[in-house]
Amino acid sequence: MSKMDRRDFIKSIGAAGLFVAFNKVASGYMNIGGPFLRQAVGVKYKDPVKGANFGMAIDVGACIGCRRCQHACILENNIPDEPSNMHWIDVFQMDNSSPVTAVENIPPVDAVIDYEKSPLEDHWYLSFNCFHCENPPCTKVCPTGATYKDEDGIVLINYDICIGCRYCVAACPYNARRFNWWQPKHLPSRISPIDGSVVVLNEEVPLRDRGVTEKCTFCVHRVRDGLKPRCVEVCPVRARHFGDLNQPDSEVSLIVKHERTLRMRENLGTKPKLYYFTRGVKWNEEGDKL
Amino acid sequence: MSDRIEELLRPIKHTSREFYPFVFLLGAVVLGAIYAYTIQLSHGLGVTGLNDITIWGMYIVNFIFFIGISHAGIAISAAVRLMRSHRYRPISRIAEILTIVSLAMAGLSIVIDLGRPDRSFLLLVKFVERFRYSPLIWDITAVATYLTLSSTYLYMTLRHDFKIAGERVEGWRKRFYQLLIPAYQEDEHSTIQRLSFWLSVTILPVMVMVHTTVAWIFALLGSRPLWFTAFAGPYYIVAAIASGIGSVVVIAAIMRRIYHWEDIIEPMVFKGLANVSMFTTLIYIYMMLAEQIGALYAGPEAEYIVSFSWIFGDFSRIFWGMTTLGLIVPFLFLLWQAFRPGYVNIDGSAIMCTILVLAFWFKRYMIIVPTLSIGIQQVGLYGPTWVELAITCGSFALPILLYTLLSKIIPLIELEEE
Repeated sequence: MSKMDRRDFIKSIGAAGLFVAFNKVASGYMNIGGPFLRQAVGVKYKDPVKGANFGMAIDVGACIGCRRCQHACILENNIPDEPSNMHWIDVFQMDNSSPVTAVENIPPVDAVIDYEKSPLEDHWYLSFNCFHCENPPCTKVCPTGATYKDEDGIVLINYDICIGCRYCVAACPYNARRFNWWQPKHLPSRISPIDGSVVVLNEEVPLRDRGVTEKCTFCVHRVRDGLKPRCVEVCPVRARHFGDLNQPDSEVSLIVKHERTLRMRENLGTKPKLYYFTRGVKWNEEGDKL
Repeated sequence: MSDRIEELLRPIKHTSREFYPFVFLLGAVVLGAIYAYTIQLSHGLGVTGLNDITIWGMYIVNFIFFIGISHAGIAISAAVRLMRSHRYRPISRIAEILTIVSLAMAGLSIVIDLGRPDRSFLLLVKFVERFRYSPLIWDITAVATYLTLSSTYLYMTLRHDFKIAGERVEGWRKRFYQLLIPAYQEDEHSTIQRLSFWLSVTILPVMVMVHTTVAWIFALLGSRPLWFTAFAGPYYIVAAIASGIGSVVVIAAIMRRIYHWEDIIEPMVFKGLANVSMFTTLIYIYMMLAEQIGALYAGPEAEYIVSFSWIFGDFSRIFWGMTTLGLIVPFLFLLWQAFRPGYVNIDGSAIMCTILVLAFWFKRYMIIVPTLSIGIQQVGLYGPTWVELAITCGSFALPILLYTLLSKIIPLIELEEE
């Protein structure tokens, strides 16, 4: 009797060991992209830049709210035309009189994102995208590891192993993530509202399928080639700055060092890498409509 | 003795005329839900009322609700076994089946909520890798452990009854019951007794873990007002006990009435269960008060906004309806019953417990929706669409249907007294 018990015990230990081994092999297999599961491996980003820690800084004093960054991002990152609310950058029009709460509710109740004209008198503009936190709450909770922080500090999503539970969206304190509620539809070519040129789909950026989460990638396909993110490139007033926080002489490092910067909801310990600052300069052009 | 067994096997041997239209009705609701789900699968989750701010809605509410219901079964049964309380034995299996059915529904609700249900196998593939991090994986582990232990427990205690049932039915059903008990030995009873005792010892802490990990799915998100509390675990466990035992009262009362088991289930059993439900409801109301006073009085911005909307704002109708009609009225009735010695109103208790259980569904709605829709950005208005309502109706009809069908296979009360 006791001999049988021992054998059963060893069997169950063996079963548990087999399960762990299956897991190790299967997840390793998926990481290298085995042939049977290629469907579930899919997204391959460029190799991370060694020793880098990318960050961004936004000059809210300079921002005129033209939303060129948003439109450029839509074209660059194959953000669908339909549904139309999938854009990764939000620019909130804020009332000068209302206080900024960097702690709890962001942005305040009276902020609007679908304004017609900008900049307006007595208003300022607060631009939001993924903050690529040093301690991201979204990647911790992911049950499949689809979202992860890469070695160069960029928080990415492997769209092909996302199961669409939206736990990361719930965990993100900044509402930076978008979920594909519908099958996204792209026009084969689009007219850029910035310069009127015809833009086709960007082959470097994977298309997202229905039922997965997506968000700003800091234009990982450009940044890892040494370029700047598209939103930084198109900003007409140079309100957006991008660089490597680990390099003391990079643009962002200098801003963090010399300006008075602020990060959203620092009380949560997420250590976001998107710094807000203002040099006190306000662009004052009438009615730049975009 | 054999009279008793005949009486207990009546649901299996005889099927009344009302059974078929009832099953047909439930089946129609379930089919409607399946149709709605195919629409959701083919068009995406956009057919629900959810949006990027309110990312979870009725499906997650159903999930927490069913996890809560699942609490009662094995808890009662294990407690009965550990405390050797013979009076409650007749309802222990009714409660166990409820646990299994509602746990299955909780799992199904999560899958319905997924954007990519076709990839749910990844939860297994990535299990070891993500176990260190994701509270969702902890919860899946706890629920899977609980389901395994509960169904083992149920099956172990059923084997003997299947044997007896197989001796008393004819034809293909005899063969069916024989197939259900492979390798049955006449002397296995004492082994099974010992086994189920230790299983119930194991199940009780696992059950606490299940409800705590469900709470942790929400309570570990530092940015979410009213979710991020240290007492989320106890809070959910109390709700689970109240709603779970409440639903056992309802189901046991219905079964007792339908199958005329007035002699077998003592009336005082209902009073005892209702008292537990009553007392936990009282604790729950107290915990709600403690939660709201902190959010309203100290008033950190996000907590204040959500709490204000609960009590005075957009959600106040659901909140006050749920609290007064759903919690306080049943509580007062059950309290009144508890203070009259020797008195028990089974129908009244059943009705009040139904209200209580439904109120706890709305309480879970209050937990999920306001925190998401106004907790961080104040723009995520949410109202369920017909797809969600149809699937939710189906999620309620399916466990009832499963329960009804199982009652035709499984003897709902242990056939032999000890």
